[in-house]
Amino acid sequence: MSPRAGQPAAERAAGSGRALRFLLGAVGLVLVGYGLLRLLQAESNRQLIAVAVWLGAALVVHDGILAPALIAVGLLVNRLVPLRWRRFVQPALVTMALVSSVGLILIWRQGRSSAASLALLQRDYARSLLLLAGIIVLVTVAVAASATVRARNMQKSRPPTDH
Amino acid sequence: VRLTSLPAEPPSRWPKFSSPLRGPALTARVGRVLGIAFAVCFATGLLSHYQYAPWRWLPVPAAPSWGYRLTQGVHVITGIACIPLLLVKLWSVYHRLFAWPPARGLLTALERLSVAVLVSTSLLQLITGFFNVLQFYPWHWDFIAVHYWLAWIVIGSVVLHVAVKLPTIRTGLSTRLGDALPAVDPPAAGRSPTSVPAGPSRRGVLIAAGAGVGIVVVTTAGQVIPQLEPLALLAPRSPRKGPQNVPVNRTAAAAGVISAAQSSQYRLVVDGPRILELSLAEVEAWDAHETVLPIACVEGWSRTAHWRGPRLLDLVERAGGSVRSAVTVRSLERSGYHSSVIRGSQLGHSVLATHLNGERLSLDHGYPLRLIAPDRAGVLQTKWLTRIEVR
Repeated sequence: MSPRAGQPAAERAAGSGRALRFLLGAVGLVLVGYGLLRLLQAESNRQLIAVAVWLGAALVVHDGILAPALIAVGLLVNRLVPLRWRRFVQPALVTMALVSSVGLILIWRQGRSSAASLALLQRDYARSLLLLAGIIVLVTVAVAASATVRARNMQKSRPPTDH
Repeated sequence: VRLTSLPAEPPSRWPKFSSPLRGPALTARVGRVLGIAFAVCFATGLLSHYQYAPWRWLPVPAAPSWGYRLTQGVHVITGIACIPLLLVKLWSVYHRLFAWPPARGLLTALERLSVAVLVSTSLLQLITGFFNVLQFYPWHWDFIAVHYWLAWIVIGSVVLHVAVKLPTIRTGLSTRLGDALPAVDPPAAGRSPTSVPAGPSRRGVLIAAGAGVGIVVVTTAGQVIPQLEPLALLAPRSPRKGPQNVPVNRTAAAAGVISAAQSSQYRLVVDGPRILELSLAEVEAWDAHETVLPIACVEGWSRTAHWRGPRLLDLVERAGGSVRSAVTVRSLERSGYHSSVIRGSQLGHSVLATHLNGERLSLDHGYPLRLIAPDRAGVLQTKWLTRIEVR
């Protein structure tokens, strides 16, 4: 017989949820502490300062530059693209931006590594990215066209009175 | 502790976010996928790390021979896929960065600090991992040590974050994607009120994000899965290229072994209870064994090849050792990964390759002699062998 048998079910669930959260939190803190301690032992002070600088830079570059720039692009699209096309254009841009997050790094590094025998970065990644952009545009146009046709058919088949 | 000195309202130019797409319903769904991907990356990363320093009583097994190929291929592809995934996750919670007040007390301040640690370590972990795949090291720290110990901080931060956010995650996952979303925009001038939806739905954003991540996975997986090679538009490696149709990571020139490897003075010394000293011709007079094994690199690419040469165990036994010996193979190379230890079932299944895909091993592949063993990281398949120590 559980000592908490008299409690309402929701309260009991919240109680067990709290215990789970404390357990998870403790495990997380132990893992973070272990990693941090061993990292501090593994590298010299100069290297650790460099790691800390990179960690800070990662935050600043993402939160201060990349994210605001992408949000600005989104606002620009809102202003330029007519309302009815926005729900097709925006997802297409999201897909393209995500593919580019990897593709642009490859384009940037391509040609800087003289590693023909390593078979490293031997493709034309700009061409790859253009090709993928073309596919994304085609798929978007197809989806938009089929949605438009479907909407038109629905309007035609609908009786003129409201229900 | 309460911070009472802050005004109740944010400064007038404080950023405001109006997108109805953001919210726990979307974030929890993206976060669930990202969390699973991080867990897979962490587990496969531990397996990879184990290759370099296994416990004496638990050597890396020889079977399945494609084990490391699979786990490291998964590690690198999930890691690359996490780059776009993390960007979506961070976009979905970006407005929280500007929450007002910044902290309600010590506890929320600590929670925000833990989020900062999670975000910055995750970003750095993914970027440095990807740069390692591209052999690009614009930093002065030891990549392996920092990548390995940061991984513990990242996974710990993820667990802590899940603990803090568990009620929000539950709410988010039980909220349907379409709920609490304005379906129709306020009608524009001259348009009837039954007009089209305002913009993409949450489902639309999720599908678009899934498509982006999916494209990244499909177009990079070709460096591990030969059948996907025609689609490998964004794969960093092209495993079919490279000398003898198999890539290398370190050329003979980079290792500084060109003249030593081709010298007529070349000898293989097997140093055990008995000492053998063999010329290349004498090594080749040994019973040759043919084997088909992948070479699988820590950078995620892999390629299957035919290898031929004497069994390592035959030489070890001739030198007075056995399958229970700990065998160290040493390269002509003086720097880098110039030696490795092989024990247990891998020792019983490894070959000292003189030939690759029917041709004599090229200099870049380790001429005159290299180790090839199943389920073993590429960098431990030591090349340009000159010394074998049997203990």
